[in-house]
Amino acid sequence: MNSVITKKRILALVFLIGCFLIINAFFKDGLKNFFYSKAEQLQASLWNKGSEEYFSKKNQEELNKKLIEENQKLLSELAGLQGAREENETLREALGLNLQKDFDLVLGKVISKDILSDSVLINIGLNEGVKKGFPVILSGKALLGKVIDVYPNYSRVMLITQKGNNIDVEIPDAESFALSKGEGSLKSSLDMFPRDKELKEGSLIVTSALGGNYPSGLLIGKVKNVKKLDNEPFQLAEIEKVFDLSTISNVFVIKVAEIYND
Amino acid sequence: MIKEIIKTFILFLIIYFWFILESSYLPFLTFFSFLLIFVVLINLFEEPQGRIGLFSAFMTGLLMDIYSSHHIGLFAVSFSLFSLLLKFILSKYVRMGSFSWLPKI
Repeated sequence: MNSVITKKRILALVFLIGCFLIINAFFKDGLKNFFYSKAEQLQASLWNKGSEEYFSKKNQEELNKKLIEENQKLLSELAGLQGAREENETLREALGLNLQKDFDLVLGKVISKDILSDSVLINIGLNEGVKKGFPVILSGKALLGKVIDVYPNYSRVMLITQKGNNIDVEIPDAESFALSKGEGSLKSSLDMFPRDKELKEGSLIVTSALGGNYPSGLLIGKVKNVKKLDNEPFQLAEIEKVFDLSTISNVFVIKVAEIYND
Repeated sequence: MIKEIIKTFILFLIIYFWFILESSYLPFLTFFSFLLIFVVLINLFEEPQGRIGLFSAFMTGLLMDIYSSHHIGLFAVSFSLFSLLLKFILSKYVRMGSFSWLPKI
C-alpha cells in the first residue's frame, strides 16, 4: 500500500465517519449550540469591529447606518403607497388579509456569516420562540431572509441572495409579479417578468404573498440593469439590495402565526 | 506522543481562531477563504508523508460543518479525502519540491 494511503489512515477515517453518523443522529444541534455559545462574544465583537473598519471614518459610520435605515424606511413607505394607490378599499380588505395577521417581532444580533454560502448566524433561537421558516427582516421592513436552522440559543438565516433561494415578488410600479433569484455572493436577480410590461430602472421590488413563502409587502430591493433579450421569454434584471451586510447588526425575526412553505 | 498531541492542539487553536476571524470579521472585506487557500497550499507543498495538511484539512472541514447548516462531518471527511488524494497523486505522479522545514506532527 502507498505510504500516503495507509491502512491506519483508512481505519481512522472509517471510525470518524461512524462517529459523525452517531453525532448527527443524537447530538448535532447540541454540539453546534455549544460551539456557538463559546465563541459568541468574540464573534459579536469581531463583527462590530469589522463593521467599523469597513467604514474607515468612525464618524461617517453612524451617519451611514442612520441614513441607510432611514432610506429603507422611506423606500418601504413608498412601496406601500404605490401599492395603496392602485387598490380600492374593498380589494385591500379582500386581498390584504395576511396584513391583518398579528405577528410579534423578536430582536436578534448577527454574529457571523457562513464562509461558503450566503447565510448568517443570529443570537436567538428556540428559547426565544424562533422556528424554522420564520422570515427575518431589518428595520424598515427590508427582507433579509428566512430561518433555515434553529438551535436552542441560535438560528441560521438564509439570505435572499443565497443561490437557489427563489422568492415570489411584486413590482407595484409595473403592476406585475416576478421571481427574485438568489445568485450567491450576495447578489440576486429578477426573472420571469413578462415581456409585454414595462420594467423601469429603480422600480421597487416587494415580496408577494402568492408563493406563500413570505408575508407580502416586505422590501427586497430596486430594479437595475434591465435586459430584454430576443431569445428570452421573460425580461431579466439585476436586483440592487437595500441592505449592506457590513451595516447589519440588529435583525428582527417575524413570529408568524403560521409557518410559511419551504 | 505528548508532543504530537500538543502540536495538534496548537494547530487546532490556530485554525479555530483563523476561522472565527474569517467568519465574523473578514466577510466585510472579502468573499473567499484564506483558510481554504492555506489548506490547499499546505497539502501541495508538504512532504507526502506529513500529517499537517491532512489534519488542517480535517479541522477546517469540521469547523465549516459546525458553522454551517450542513451535517457534521460532511466537509471534514470530504476535505480529508481530498487531502489524501492530493498527496497520493503528488507522491506517485508529480515531481515537485516540498517544504521539508515545515514542523511535523
